[in-house]
Amino acid sequence: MIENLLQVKGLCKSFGAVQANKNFNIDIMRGSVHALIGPNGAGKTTALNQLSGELIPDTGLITFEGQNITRLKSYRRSRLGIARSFQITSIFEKMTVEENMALSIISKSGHNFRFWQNGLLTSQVRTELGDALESVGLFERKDVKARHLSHGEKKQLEVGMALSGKPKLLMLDEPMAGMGPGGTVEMSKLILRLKETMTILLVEHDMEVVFALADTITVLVSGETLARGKPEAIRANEFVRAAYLGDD
Amino acid sequence: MLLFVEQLLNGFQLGITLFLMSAGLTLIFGIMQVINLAHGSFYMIGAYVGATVTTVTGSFLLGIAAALIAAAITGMLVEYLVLRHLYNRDHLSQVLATFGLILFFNELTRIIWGRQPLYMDVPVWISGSIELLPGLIYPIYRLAIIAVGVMVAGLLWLLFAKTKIGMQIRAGASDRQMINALGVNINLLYTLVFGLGTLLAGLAGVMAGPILSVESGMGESILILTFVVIVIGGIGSVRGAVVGALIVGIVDTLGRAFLPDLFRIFLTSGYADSAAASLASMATYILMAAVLVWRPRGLFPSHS
Amino acid sequence: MIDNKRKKTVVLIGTICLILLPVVATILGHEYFISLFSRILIYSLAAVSLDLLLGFGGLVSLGHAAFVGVGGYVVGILFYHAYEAEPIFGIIPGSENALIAIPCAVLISALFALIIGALSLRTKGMHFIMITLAFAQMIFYFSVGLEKYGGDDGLSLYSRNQMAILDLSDDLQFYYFCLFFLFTFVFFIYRLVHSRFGLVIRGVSLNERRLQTLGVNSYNYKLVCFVIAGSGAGLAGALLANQAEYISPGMMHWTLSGELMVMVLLGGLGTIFGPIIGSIIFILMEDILGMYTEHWMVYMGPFLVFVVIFAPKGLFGLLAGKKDSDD
Repeated sequence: MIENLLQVKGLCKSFGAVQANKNFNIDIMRGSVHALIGPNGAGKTTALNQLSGELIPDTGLITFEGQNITRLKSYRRSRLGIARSFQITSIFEKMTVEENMALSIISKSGHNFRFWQNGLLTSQVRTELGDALESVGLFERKDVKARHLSHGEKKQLEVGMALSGKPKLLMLDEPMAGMGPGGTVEMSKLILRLKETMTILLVEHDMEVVFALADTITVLVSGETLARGKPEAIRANEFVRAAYLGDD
Repeated sequence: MLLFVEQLLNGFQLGITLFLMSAGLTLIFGIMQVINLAHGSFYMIGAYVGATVTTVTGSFLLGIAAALIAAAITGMLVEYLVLRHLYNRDHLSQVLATFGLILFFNELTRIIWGRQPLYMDVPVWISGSIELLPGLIYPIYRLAIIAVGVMVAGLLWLLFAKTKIGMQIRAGASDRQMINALGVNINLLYTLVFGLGTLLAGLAGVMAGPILSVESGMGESILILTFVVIVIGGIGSVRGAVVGALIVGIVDTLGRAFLPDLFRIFLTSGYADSAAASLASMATYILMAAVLVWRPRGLFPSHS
Repeated sequence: MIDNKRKKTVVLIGTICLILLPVVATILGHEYFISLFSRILIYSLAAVSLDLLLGFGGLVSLGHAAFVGVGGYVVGILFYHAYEAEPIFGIIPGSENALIAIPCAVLISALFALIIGALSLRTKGMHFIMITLAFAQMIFYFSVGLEKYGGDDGLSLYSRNQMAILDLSDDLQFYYFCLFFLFTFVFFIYRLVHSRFGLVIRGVSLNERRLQTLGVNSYNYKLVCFVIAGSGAGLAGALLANQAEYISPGMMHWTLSGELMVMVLLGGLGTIFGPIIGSIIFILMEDILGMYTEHWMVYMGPFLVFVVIFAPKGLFGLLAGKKDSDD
């Protein structure tokens, strides 16, 4: 089994005159929680979008389990086992919680040209749906329209949808954003639980959470990788402190 | 050969009309993100008002002025009363509402002016033809249209490159959040952009009056070609509108002029004539399909 | 959530009314209504097919009328070549048989939808709207150029298609023939929308980006949706050619696309049954208002604008009772 699950070398991406990423590198080890941190505008979202397949890099190489996926479309990456959640909750607002989850489950399989049978009754959905809803604590709310959920519940649904299909690599884009302390605790517990079965890339601003959860940290400043290492090393790194953390 | 040059010039002239129509519309699409099917109606209003005022006053220049004013004012009224409610709505709502406007304006012209087309004569002082090249006689009026178009293109360039408001418009076309952040009065900007667009459409309409017949529904046929121009050129890009308009104008004109004969050389059966005429009118759309395969967002897409 | 019981009641009442209509009309001596409502049923079919695209797929296509026209022209061309006893291109024989002409119409419009869809769906949003319009216009010009089949003036058919069990030239039997197709198609769409495919396509219209990340290649699903909708429109076109015994480029003019959209809007977007109500209202308005003034469009236009801005949920929503402001 390849230790290095996701390997990124020299990723560059420009939009016109603006270079969002230059020489972005990251190595994510299997079974770890790897945090990607950096100040606002550092290029974290652009980097993440290139990893999930929504943007194609100008130059650079992305390898997943040894396979070159640099130019692979996002839906194909999903089938390889890469999942992501979005910073701004991206769910199907007008559908019920149940439908949202069902849709995530059947999306993985790729053969959905079934015109006749009710979408919520496919065998795959029936077996997985209950568990999926339970794992994010939304079973009771399954008939509620997604738009009526609270912010925290929407985030739970968001992550839950990314989880269906048991991904190998889960990329979380600022999952703590907008959450109160209670929500943060719950989400942190969830991440620790998930770590047992999958690898996690955590893009986050909340430094307490990052230092508590991460096995490895990569620091992104002005579009490129500034430093990489264990949390204590990063905390002590002079350049990182100057550029980002400030002296504390 | 001379026929080719003549048709090429005709293509240019159609290109100018299309440019006037598409420059405004592409900005409206790009800045206000509103799909406006009724743009052709302002072309029609320009033609009708221009024709009527010219006939009544005997002065073509007054006719043009009246057409421009009518188109701009109607445009700004429409923006204020209808379009303003549609900016944040989905595309379908915009399509349906502006479709309703088309129905309204088309019927209104039938009520005011009747069903018969209006005819507008080329004003005497620019009628007639001149000899451009030995053996090539070309109408002065069409040359005048080309001249006006080039002048307008130049003025627009000045507006966008050199004035503050022009830069605000350009910024808006590629990034709406940015103009918000710059503290520009959005409502006023939108109304002005819309008014500018409809003014250009009205100008196109009144100039086309003497060449085509002025009738209800004339806006829609030019509108669809305008859409093709914008698709090819790229939404929000005036440069794209120039390039697209010239390409479409020339391809359409040359296609209609020469393709039927070309087909008749190769096909001999009775089908040749029908096929030839049909395919000739389809040339522009086939071109559009080809551009789409290669560049789904047009030749000069803006970034947002 | 739409109140399901109320919705079912409305649908049931509507179905019964449509079934009984010819009987009532004959009793009252207004046979004219049978022919009028045959037309309405046909437009309903086209409108429902458009609702699949618009209401469920979120695909604003301004070129839907093109497929109606293709369906009609296939029927017309087959008829012409049978009547003139002259095979198409010298090899394919024509046919006046409904059981050949109508399936052919559906298949060929599906083919057109496949080609146009494959190209247009490479774009999104405003581009898509304009491109579908442009392609439809292209087909319109093509049919205008078909001098053999009447060009701009169109082609009159000698009679309606023939078939074994039914006499389609009898207005009453033709009415039930159209009703059969409408019910079948609506039933099919209803099942489709609630199926796995339907769930995915609804997801595409709600949040395509998310769906792609989840593993769905949305292009394929949109294309299938487009082809199904186009086939429905082709079927409507084939029936229309029979009803009017006439084909013309007007059947594929983009204003028809607009009118179909209006029917969908009036009835209620994404409701499947709504477009039927919408087309009833639209065509009755056209007929009735048309009697009072030939300029009824000047009122229709602003009315449409008003409805779009202030009452976007349509009339089916009103009847079936909406508890939520969404849906």
